[in-house]
Amino acid sequence: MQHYIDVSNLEPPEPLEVILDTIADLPANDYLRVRHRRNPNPLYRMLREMGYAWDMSNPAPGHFEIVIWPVAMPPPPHTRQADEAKE
Amino acid sequence: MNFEGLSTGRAPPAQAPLLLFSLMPFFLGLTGATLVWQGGDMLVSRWTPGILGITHFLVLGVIAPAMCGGLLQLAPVLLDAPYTQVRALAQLTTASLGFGALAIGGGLLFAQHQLLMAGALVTLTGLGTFLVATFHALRRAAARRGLLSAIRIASIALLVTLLLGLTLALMRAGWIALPLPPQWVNTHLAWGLGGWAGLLLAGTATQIIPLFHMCPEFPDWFTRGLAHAVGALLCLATVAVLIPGSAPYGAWILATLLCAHILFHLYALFCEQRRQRPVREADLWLWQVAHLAVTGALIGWIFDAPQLSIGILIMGSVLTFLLGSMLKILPFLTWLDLQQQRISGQHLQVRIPRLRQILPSTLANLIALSLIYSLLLLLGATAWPALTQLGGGLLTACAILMMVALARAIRIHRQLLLVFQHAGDDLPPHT
Repeated sequence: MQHYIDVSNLEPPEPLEVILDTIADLPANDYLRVRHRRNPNPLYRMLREMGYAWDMSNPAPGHFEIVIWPVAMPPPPHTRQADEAKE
Repeated sequence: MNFEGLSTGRAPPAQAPLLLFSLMPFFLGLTGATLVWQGGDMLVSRWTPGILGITHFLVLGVIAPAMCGGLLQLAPVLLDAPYTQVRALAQLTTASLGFGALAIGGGLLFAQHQLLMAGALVTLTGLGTFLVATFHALRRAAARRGLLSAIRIASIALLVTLLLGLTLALMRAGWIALPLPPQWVNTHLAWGLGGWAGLLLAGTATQIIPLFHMCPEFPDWFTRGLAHAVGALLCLATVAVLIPGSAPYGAWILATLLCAHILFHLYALFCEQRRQRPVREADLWLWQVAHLAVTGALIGWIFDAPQLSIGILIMGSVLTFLLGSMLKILPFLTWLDLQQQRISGQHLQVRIPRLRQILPSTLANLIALSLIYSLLLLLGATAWPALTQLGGGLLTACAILMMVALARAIRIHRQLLLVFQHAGDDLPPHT
């Protein structure tokens, strides 16, 4: 199941706080879609160490979509990893 | 600010900057207590032992620890330039600044020349070591050239400030004689407040204001231009003291230096007014008071206001800017360090308190208001000396509140570290 949060109007470092807290509460086999106004680079190192995978897309200037899921889980639909697995 | 370029993984252990920050409330409180004790008599002129003493309590006990602690944290994260032996460096710098502030401030307050000399030598050794470590850390840094220029020129300014300070201490002890002592004191002040503190604050502000308040970035050329202009003006001001008869030019050069800083503060105010999230919090009040105070200092200089009023406005600007930054940095670095330890230790079931839980808004607001009102009262005390003790009392209250905030952050940090130490994977979530 997908969970969605929009952190694009929060001041740093609140987006990082909200994303990490939401991930901690994420039920097993669920994934998180985040809307952010920029590419949250510091988050990725943390996700890697926590055992999460992610896919980032940038559909419009100031609009970043990040999908986050546990590495043990198959990639959610419409992510680069899911598309690569299909091919 | 380029948020993508942050190296948060390179941040030092939070204990290192927190150790330095722990000096700040003590010396802010000591300054307030001295104002209460000495009363209106000490505000007769800028040369009274009381004013000279508290200036050094503030510069070495409040401003310097914040600057050094901030650099330990920011250089690795913003410039990818970590310090080596960061804990030992923090301990040495804290010890030398603690002793130096007490000895120099006390030496000036009680006319104890030996104490003053001992303080000057210890401060020179401690801050000199910190400077060597800073230049070593920055040797390979290449990103954010504006900030890099500001830190490098500010570090050179600190070195000149220390050497001038030692010379003035030797002169006060009667070991050497210098012509025109007031001009040398002004030059020492200009290198210290305008060069070191002002430039370092401006450089870091160009990074943290856009980061924390979602407002337009400062152009890199602006920060670099400001750093080089300040460096050049300080050199000119020093040359003006060395050449006999050029003292009036020196005063104009120092006024131009103030204008350079005002340019930065007005630009910062412009950026803050264009922030995307128009929330006005304690840190922003303090930053905006800092912008207005430094502008007020120039207006005061133009209208020939008492030197002490101008000094209070400049010192007030540095203090409000610094405390405003601390209200952002203190909870953030506590939170960031705990998050990193939580993740690296795989204690993912442990919940880290939010920033507003680490430093509640009410406490931050009280710190900001007590500082702003104490500065207003002290400014008023230059005309009505009876206000001195009230201003000093409020400054002491601000220091106590800051101590509470710092103790709260350290307690939360220690508690969570203990939870990490004892946590098995089956530990219940901590809230």
